[in-house]
Amino acid sequence: MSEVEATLQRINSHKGIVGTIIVDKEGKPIRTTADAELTEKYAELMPDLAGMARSLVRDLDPQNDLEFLRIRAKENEIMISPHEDFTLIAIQELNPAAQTE
Amino acid sequence: MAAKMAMGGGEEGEKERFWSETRLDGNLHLYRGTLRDAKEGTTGVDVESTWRELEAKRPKEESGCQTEGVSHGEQGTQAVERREEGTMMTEDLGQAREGKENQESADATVLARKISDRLDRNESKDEDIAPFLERISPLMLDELENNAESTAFSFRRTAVNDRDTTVDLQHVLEPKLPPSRTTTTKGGQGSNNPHGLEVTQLSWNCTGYALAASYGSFKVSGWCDLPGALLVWNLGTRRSKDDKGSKDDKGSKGKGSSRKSKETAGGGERERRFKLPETNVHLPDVVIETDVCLQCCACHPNHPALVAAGSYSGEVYVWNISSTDSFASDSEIARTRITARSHHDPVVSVAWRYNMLTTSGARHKQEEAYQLVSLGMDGKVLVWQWHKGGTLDAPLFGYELVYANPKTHKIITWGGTCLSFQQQQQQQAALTFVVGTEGGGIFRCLMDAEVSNPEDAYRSPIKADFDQHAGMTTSVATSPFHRALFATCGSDSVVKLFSALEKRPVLELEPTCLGLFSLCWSPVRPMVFAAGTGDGRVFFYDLAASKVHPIKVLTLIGGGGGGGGIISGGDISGGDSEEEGGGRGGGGGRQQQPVFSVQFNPKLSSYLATSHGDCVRIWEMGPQLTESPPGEREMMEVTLIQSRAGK
Repeated sequence: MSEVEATLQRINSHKGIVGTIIVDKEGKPIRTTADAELTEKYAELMPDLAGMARSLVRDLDPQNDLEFLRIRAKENEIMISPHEDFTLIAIQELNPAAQTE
Repeated sequence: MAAKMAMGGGEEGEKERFWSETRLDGNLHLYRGTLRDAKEGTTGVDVESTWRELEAKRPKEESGCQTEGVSHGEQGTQAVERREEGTMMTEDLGQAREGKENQESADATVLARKISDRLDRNESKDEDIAPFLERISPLMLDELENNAESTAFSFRRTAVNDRDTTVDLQHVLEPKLPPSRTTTTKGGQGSNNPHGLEVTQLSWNCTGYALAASYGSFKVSGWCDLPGALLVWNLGTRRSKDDKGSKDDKGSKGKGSSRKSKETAGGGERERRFKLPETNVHLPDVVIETDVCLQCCACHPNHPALVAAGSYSGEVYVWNISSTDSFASDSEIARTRITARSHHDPVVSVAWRYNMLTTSGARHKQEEAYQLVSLGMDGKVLVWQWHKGGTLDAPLFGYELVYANPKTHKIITWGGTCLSFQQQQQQQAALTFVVGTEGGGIFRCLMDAEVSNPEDAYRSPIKADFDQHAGMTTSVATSPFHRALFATCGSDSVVKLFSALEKRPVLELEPTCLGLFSLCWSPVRPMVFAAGTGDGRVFFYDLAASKVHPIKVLTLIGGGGGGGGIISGGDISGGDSEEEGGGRGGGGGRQQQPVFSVQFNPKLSSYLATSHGDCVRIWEMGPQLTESPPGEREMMEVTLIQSRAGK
């Protein structure tokens, strides 16, 4: 197992993680732990949003840069950390049962 | 009129003359006229007015005025509808789903292959990704860790108001009180409640299938010559489908055969007939008559048939209702005697307590470990040891609510009105409870089970006092989920939430301007409670949804009335306020009566019982009030902390 895979596995073993996806700058998924359908969807949609968020941050202050983007949805939480060449996306399910304990 | 007339000159033949006249207003008027001859037969004088000529000579000027014209114009605007060419991912999937199964699976495999191909092709990029991941992963891991523990969005989730807050009327429970002692009239609508008694307290039994109600009156002052009663409705058997016949036999025994035959005839459809008129009106299964008004009752926490009640005269009763056949009165199994050390004023609250340890420190047997605690308006808190076959001759030990008045600092005895034990403390020898008093004071007390000398004066159990209500404290309820949290309400119409460790309330709510009379926490939702008002309304609060506004208001109309007890207006639309009309023609004067008791069913948590006058209603609550969202306990802690910080 390569170092990259090991890291991905480490992230993936976190509580409630559904999938971790690395997308390159052309919007193609290059590493994924999620199933194909999910990977395709996220890879297509998320970099656009990350790009918009980044330009927003830079428009507000040109010295600033986007580090991390966290989307809280009703069912899950999507964490995006965009960088020049790659974007890492992690999808975390909010498990109600786990939260109660 | 004419003061003077002068004739101007003129020639004989023409007979035309000028006349002048000076009028009384001082103006000189000149006339020209012709004096006709007497020969011609007339003697009048023709006078021609000169006014027109004068008017014609006056200079005249013409001018005009015209506002500027209003210009009209028309313009149109039309939103452009833009459509972009291109398909979205979701559409593709939607179509795929519509297509045949094999098509879909084929698509999925193609997609999977496409991705795996891509992944394979990019295998060489591993060394590029590695530094990126190395940089990113600590941040990501940190965030995931925080995320799992975050409560930042907890409120958002429950605040989403997509859950069902309906509260539907399930049953109307009619009283069947003993007939009047003075008047012998039977029949007619008032015969069910000849003394005008009202429900003073409700209590669900430990199985949640039976509801006990004590009947008495809060209007009595001085000597009480009204009787009281304890009524028990057995709802469980009515609700279950397989055991209908036997139950109805028991329920209608001795109440006339007409009702019995009706019930058995329609027995098969009982489940469906809940909302129809008449069928959801129930008469009690057990009626126990007492000499004086009952002011409170409490079902045993473990034994389904034991009920304790406190009377206006200061007695405490224990009944076993399972041995009661309708109107029998031999179900009384223990009763306190009035002695110098017992209550001398109405008993306003009774409670069962499980106490493992005896006063000497040894362990009780299971069935002997229950104690009965009674609170009187005389400020005494008495503890009675009761076990099967035992008596209630003398209190085991007792306390007296003696505490300094916070304003005058004078030490006085406070008359109790309500009592609630802190939950989740069964294994302890010392029990904490909260009492509310007539003067509005709220006290935290400790029952330390130290037996004092029977001759000694009662000690004060009070350990701490809290901010008072402006009027009488009518109800106090400790939270079943939080050791320190309790709520009180008073006739000043304020609900106060206290943390047991702080004098000031954590939260204050004022749902109405009329007094509040009852309060009850939900047994399943830590942040939900209900409060009953003096005008027949019940407010439901969900602190997770709003700390200011009730999420639901029930309006109870009418006392249920006797006879038919028709439920009209039962159309539950899911609006904020629901009105329920009942008992048309059944006592017009009983329209807005206080809700003296609201009780959530501790076992069957979707049911709620409310009292209104002499009538009891059972409601079924929707999921908003019965299903606890994830992490609600933590949310409650956060709410308490936030409310405290906001002060």
